[in-house]
Amino acid sequence: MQKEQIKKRVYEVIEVSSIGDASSRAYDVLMTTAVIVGMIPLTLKSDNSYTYAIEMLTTLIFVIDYVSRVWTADYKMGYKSFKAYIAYILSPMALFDFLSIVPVIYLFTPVGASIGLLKLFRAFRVLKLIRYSKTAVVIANVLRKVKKELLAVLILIIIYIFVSAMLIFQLEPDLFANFFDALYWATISITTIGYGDIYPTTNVGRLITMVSALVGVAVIALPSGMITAAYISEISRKKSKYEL
Amino acid sequence: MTNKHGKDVYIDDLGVKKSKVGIYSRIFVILCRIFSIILAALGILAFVTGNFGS
Repeated sequence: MQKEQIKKRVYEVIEVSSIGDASSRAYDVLMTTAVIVGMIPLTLKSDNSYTYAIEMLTTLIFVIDYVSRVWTADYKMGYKSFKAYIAYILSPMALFDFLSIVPVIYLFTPVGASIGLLKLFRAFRVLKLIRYSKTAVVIANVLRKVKKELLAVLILIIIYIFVSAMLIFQLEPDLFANFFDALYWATISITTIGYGDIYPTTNVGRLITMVSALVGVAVIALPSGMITAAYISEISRKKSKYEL
Repeated sequence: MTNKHGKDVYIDDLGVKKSKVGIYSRIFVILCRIFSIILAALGILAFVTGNFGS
């Protein structure tokens, strides 16, 4: 086989499997298993010999996967140029692939607080599953469709949280050690979680809390409705596409 | 169809021409499955010993 043929075949294998391609399917199963098993250390309080083996094996698999994806980037991007490799390396999925390799560094360096944080990068591995899940692709399309509306609601929520936090911080200064506590209280109130660890004692403070809870019910429900509507429209679009 | 690359084809004991690419694919599939099983076993062992072990 020529080099270009091998490269094309590698690209076909690492991409999501098409019907009848046993190699690609086996590779998808291996990657999915590696992603799920690679996150098991996050469910444990401390590492053991098995987690060390898991880390080594999954990182080896992820490194091979990353190198293969960068090598076949010209096929992925659809044009043969050096720019294709750069564009691919800087794409979100390639960055997530790279971040999924990073946690292995902490195995080879003395444990410190900053190095320990690298372990948390394992959580990025779950994003690798997006490429193997058709449902995740639908959800990504839905979020892309309503991103402007979601951003508008998010900005509205952030503004409201800041305003209510500033008001309550001024009205009840003894209640909060710093402004971050007030922000925390405002977020917990607007989302209607209400842990009850910080609560207002004055009537004005209570009034702000009541308004926050009411605004929260209205504003927090907005994104759910938008996402549901976009999801239904995406599903009907897919259905009509298959029916045609 | 003629194959320009003789290395990709071999003749088995029955005299039938076979492609080595098919064999490489089969080896790859088997290796992937073995690694998947090893990883799954390691994952179960790590989870059980980490959460329920002494």
